[in-house]
Amino acid sequence: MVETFEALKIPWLMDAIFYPYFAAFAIIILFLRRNEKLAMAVSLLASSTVLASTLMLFTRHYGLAAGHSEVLPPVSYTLKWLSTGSATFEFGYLVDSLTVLMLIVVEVVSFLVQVYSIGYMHGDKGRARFYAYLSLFSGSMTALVISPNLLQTYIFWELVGLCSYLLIGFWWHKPEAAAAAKKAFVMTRFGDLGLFLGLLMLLYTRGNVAFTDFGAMGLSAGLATCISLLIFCGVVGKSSQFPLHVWLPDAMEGPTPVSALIHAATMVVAGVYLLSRSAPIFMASQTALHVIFLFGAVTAFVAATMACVQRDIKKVWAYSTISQLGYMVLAFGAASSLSSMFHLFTHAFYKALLFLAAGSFIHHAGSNDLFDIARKGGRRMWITFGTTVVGALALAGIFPFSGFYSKDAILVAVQAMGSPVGYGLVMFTGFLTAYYSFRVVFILCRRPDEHSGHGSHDSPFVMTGPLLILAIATCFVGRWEHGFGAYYLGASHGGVHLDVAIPASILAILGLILAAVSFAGGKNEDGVVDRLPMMEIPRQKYYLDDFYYWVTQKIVLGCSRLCAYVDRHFVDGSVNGVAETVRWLGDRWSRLQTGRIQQYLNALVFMVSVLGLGIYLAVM
Amino acid sequence: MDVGVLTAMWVAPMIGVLILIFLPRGADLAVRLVSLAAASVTLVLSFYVYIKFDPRGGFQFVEDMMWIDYFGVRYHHGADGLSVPLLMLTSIVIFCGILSSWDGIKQRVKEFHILMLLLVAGVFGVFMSLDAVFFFIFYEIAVLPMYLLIIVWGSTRKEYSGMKLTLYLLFGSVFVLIGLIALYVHTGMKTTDLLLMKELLIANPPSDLFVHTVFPLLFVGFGMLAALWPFHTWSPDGHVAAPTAASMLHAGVLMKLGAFGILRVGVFLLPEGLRYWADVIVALSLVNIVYGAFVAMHQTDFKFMIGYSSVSHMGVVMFGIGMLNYEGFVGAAFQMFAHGVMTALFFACVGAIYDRAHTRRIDAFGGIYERMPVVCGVFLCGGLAGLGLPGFSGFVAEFLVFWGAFKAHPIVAAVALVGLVLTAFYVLRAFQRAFYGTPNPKWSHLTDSSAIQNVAYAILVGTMLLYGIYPRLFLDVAETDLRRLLAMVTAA
Repeated sequence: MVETFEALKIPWLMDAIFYPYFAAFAIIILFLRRNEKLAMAVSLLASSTVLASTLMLFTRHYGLAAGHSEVLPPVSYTLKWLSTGSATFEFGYLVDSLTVLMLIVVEVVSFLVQVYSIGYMHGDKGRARFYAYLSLFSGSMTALVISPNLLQTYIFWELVGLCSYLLIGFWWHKPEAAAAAKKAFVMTRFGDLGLFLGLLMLLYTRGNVAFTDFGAMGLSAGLATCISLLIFCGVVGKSSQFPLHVWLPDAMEGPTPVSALIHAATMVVAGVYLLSRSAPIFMASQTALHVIFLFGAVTAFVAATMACVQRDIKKVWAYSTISQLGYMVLAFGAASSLSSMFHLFTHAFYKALLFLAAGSFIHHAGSNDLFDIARKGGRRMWITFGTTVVGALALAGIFPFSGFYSKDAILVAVQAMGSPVGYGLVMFTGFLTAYYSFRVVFILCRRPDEHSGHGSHDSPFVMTGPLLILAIATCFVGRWEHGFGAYYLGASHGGVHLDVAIPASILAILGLILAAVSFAGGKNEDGVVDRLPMMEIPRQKYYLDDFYYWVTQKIVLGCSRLCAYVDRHFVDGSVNGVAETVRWLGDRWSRLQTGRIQQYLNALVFMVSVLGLGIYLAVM
Repeated sequence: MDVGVLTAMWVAPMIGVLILIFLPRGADLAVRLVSLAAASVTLVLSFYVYIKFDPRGGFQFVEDMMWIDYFGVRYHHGADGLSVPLLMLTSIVIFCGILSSWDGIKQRVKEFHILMLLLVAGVFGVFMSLDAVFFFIFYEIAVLPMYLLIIVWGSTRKEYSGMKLTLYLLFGSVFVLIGLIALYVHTGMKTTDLLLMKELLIANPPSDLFVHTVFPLLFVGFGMLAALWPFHTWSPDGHVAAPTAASMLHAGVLMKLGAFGILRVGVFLLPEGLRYWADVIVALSLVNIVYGAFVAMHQTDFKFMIGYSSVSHMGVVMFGIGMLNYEGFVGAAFQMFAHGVMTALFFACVGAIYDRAHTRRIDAFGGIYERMPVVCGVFLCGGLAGLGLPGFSGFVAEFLVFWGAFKAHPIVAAVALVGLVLTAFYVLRAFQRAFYGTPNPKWSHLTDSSAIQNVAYAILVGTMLLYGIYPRLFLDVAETDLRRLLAMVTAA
């Protein structure tokens, strides 16, 4: 097998996938900070090189896989990085179908976002820095995807977190952006503690964190549960699952291409990818899978309700992303890594599409508010509006768009789990999804104000081009379900299950109708759903932000105040107290030095007599 | 025995001092160039030592001759896997320190550089001495110039802080002295040579009571210099008051002398003592890590924040030592190196900001990224290294320490990990408040760092990245000797 890989020059291709982005980052940050055009060129060159290599890798690997009846074994190329005797860590590449599929998502979206940003960031002073960060992000994400062991994953997991921080805070002069960047980093970091502990625990119990050996670990059920749940903590942070999801909506302060790339299509799904990557450990523990399903289902539902009440177009898609991430996680919890990955695959394209289209609207209207965009002529931007509708159809799961297929696969998996409550919840979430996605469409479709002088021109082609490509992908990727399953698992899976698809479609169409009734035409800014009293809870984000604010202000900063007080007044106080005591004693002693000879003589005589008496008594 | 490269390394700054003494007052440029030249010589020599060092370990580049026969004092120098990286750290930090205070120090330039070089000579001496008397003399040479550096060129309650630091550290060295004398007496007052003492101790093992009482003397005495809780309060005060280059040396190198002393003298001579007291050390250093981070969060002055973050990070070093396994040991040694570079970088950045803005209050700034992108970017690198971001050397060090900790005490390790999140929180919070946000028009006159300072930043950031990306540079050098040291602890 390895020989075939060598013959197909796959190691060479992996190099061409790994290095260019990092090289582009280094070149831009060191030499091209003031030369924006050249910086963009370097970054795009790296991006297209990587994309081309990825596609070559895909064709070769796919061709190889097609020649085998079962799934290709993973092959890794590694270099010793760190060794302490009890374990050795290697740095390198792992190539299997999961890697290749994920690489396609990452590189295609990265490339399109870089192209799109030429238009979107036009005229921004920090473009060179923007492209440097984008390159660093794509490089780290790529390295995360091809990582052969959990330690390397953790390393790049943190680096993509850093890039997310840098890019959310890209417009650093906006205080909200600065706050959101910090929040994103600290929240995900909090989850990462779990991942780090899971890594340490695996290391301690097995001394090995290579993914290829996960299947043969032979962990006991308790240990597997423990390790899986710790790793899942990292997933909760990074893939923004309830209750650590609060950073993702705030992260929308970053430039929109960043939201599309990092906070919709790639970085946030790294958690889902990690689940599939370390599936053997998770599959060994039924408890862990149940917990994961629960978290995913709650996230999908909670986020969908919040998406229903947002006015900010990016916030709608942000909550929608959280909800869809919940779908992927719950699919994994239903023991279907395939449907989870397939949904990741389809979602990446339509959600990147929706975000980039939102960026195009915002670029045009200068506002994030849905109703503002509609007033300023959103529907006259034909390509942007049309592609948004395509994206919304996929998101709502309408046949034959890609979302339909992947959601169908998830629903089948959930049904097979045999939990009617879970199944019902996921079905209902599907209804909400259709409602909020078409709420956006119907609001945008409203008649613009007469005096909006913007005309009807759409964004430039560098922006609409990527939209069209993503829209085409959204229309057709779903059809590839059989091929995807065959490539990923080695056996053909999928196919539409009518018993699930028909109720799901009916619910989706009901949601669509509800959105149409509430928002088509007219000028009202709230629909039936908004008037429900219970919608106040999602409007207040389930009070989680308030809770975290309270925790930070009262508990964390309270502890900090307490420690600082103890430090200044007790620890340091005792040091100063010792110094003061010494000084005081010195002062007292110095009073004895009066300079009067008589006193000295008296003291001397007294001491000598005491001493003499003592000696006398001792001798006697 | 001939005099070799190690002697040259501590003599080079001394020669620099001699030349500086004879330079006329006012020849500032010449003064700076001479001290930079002295620092470059040590840099070259430490590179040479690093490259030539045989990773099979043991003391190398040994120079050994009798000095005072009657007391058995020897001039015995040698470098092993533990000290070689620290020698390089010292020369990197002094080199960058001189570069970053190139324009910052305007008064008494000559005296400033004399003291700096003197201090550095002492530090080199400590890292290479294998004789208790020389070790102690160099230790004091390293500590004392700091007093003058703080009270003459310092700021913010400088007399108080300088006095506090000096008295505190002298107080600590009294403990060390008592411990060393006890060992000297126990071994029959034949020699002060650490290696010979070790042989005598093996031949004539001390009683448990002796080990259990003398080891804590050495540990606490050296631990004070490593900011062991609750003997740490001199350190933030001292860092804040000291001028930039002195802070860099102080936090970057001097605090390592403490941890190094623990390993070289305490653990080397009395390994059983470490085993006996390990749990107490773990507990104290856990307080260091978490409590240090909490206190750092509360600070409003950049230098105080960094000072307390050093308390927290030095806690990681002692945490690793207390784990009694190879990962902990090597992590601790690596953390000494990593923290030295990182914190020097921090102080260099804060110094650059202070020189221009004349304040270090975090709240007083806002949006200065606009005016000082390089300084802020470099500061961010330091902060990220501090919160253990992979790619920087601090990550590898902390990873190793926590791995060792997890093997020994899983629950304690989990608690200590909270320190990492706290670090992320306060570093990024400071960053958000001072550097991001709407630019404050008050600071529109600020300028970015000079080209000379950028060289210093580049060296420091480059070192962090190099060791973070390819940690074997460090591990291959340190491994054998740390294993040997650990074997003493676990075998006894």
